[in-house]
Amino acid sequence: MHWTLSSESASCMIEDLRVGRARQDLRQLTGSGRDSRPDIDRVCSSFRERFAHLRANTGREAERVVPRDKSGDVAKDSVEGRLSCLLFEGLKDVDARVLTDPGFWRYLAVWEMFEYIEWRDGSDCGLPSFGAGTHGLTWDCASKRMFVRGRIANEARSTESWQAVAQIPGTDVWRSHILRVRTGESPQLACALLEAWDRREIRTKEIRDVAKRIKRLRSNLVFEIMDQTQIQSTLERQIDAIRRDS
Amino acid sequence: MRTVQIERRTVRPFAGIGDLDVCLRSMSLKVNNEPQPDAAVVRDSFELQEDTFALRLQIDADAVSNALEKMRIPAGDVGLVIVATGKCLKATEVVFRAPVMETELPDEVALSRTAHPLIFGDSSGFTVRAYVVLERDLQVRPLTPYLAGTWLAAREFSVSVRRDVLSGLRPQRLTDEVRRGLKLPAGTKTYLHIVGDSILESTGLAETVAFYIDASLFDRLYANQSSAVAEAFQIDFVIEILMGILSEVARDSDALGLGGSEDSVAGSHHEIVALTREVAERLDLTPSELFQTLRKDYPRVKAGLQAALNSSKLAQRAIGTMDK
Repeated sequence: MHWTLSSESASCMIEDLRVGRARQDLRQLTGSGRDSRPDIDRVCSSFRERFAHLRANTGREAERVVPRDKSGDVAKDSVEGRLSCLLFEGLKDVDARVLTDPGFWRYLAVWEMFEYIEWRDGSDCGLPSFGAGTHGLTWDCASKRMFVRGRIANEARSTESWQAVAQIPGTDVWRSHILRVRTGESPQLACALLEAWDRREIRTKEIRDVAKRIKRLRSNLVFEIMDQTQIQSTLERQIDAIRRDS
Repeated sequence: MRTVQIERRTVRPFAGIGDLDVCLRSMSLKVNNEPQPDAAVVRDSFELQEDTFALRLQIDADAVSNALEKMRIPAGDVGLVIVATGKCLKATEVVFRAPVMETELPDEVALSRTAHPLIFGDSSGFTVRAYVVLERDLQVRPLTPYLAGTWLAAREFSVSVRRDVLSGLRPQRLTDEVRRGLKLPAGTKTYLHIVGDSILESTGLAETVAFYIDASLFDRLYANQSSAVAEAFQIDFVIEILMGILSEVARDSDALGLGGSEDSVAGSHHEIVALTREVAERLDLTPSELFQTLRKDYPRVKAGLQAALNSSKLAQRAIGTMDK
């Protein structure tokens, strides 16, 4: 049993919140069996506390990081990375029927994470950031993309280093080159790409071409069965090929 | 004069690899212990939560052995791998892996919701891919696969939730709020929003495409749904949506350098395949011809759709009602 929101209800609530009207409670209770709401409430409460703390320190964070990803604010994405770990750890044991229900991610985004999403994606961000505006859920939906960001890092790396991978900032790399494409289905490949990006082995101007070459390799290679060393050397060959061609 | 038709296709440059394709043909998906004739299974959402799934492993061992021998690939370096992916969260796991020739393969592999909840418990469905794959790097030889991870034969199975191909494309109201979010000018009548970078990489059209109609116009059409004017508008909207989606598929294929191979590129995207086939059939074209025409002569495809959907007649009827 869990809270859910339809796309239409989510759009109405966002409009209310943005024009300063009192939000109507359009949540619907769905599912049967164990009540997931108390667990989810606890995670959301920790999320908000942690967000408030990180937000207060974002300025200092920004001074430490040299921006290279033009598409997004690096300090904000770094905060998203940290909160992704919290969200994944808190929700990973929730019933799969809840976690694969688009309405659940909409509920989280609009009811529990509204302030965070407006801060992260901008106060004029589109409805897809809240999982609304389309019938399905896109990878712009902040709550879902954060959970999956944490899951990919957790599956690919050891207990010591997965949080560091989840926190690698790169709005465009995460969204365009991992989450929205099939690279996200291979956590090892996604992490190799992120780590090479983070170590600056891939230059900003090269990332799109590397991602495109990986997409094309998919038609021949099953990345899911390749180990870290095999994936690393495949990635290095793509980077070399781009430099040879340019 | 003889006309020569040229069609570009993605060809895997490995000699003799076609012989391996047959070896997975007898494999099938079992739903509630019943083998399914089709590789793509559609279930109602309430069924999906209760169904049990398994993959029947019927491999033609002789076909594998002969093909590998012809390609001079040691059978011990080749594995049978089954990879499954949940459609909602992209959770992916290797659910089975064994040498293709050297072990007694089980008759079937259970696709267990308990063992892999985020995949087989996914309320949007899942995809299962079976591969005969190189497990180790081989010595480099011309026209022979050598990289570990290269698949030699593949088959894909899909379980989805029942929905009409176009059901996810129900128009939405373009309110001022949405319009500002999409950075569209005031006065916009319709907008087809393609969300994300790649329509071919998406799991469903509903997740990738949103069609907006100006909120006031939407409300008027909704209030007069069965009027001749509303019907004429609706057909034009359908044409706009279809043209937008097909153009995006062509653009996406071109960006990947795979233009001309849309059939195989979109092979794993069942909704796009279904949509493309439907449009191509209506225009009496093959899917490849449809995309060739779209690139060469976009207005011709639009004209074909107008004719197939009686757009002109509906518009005339709408004007007729205004004359009365």
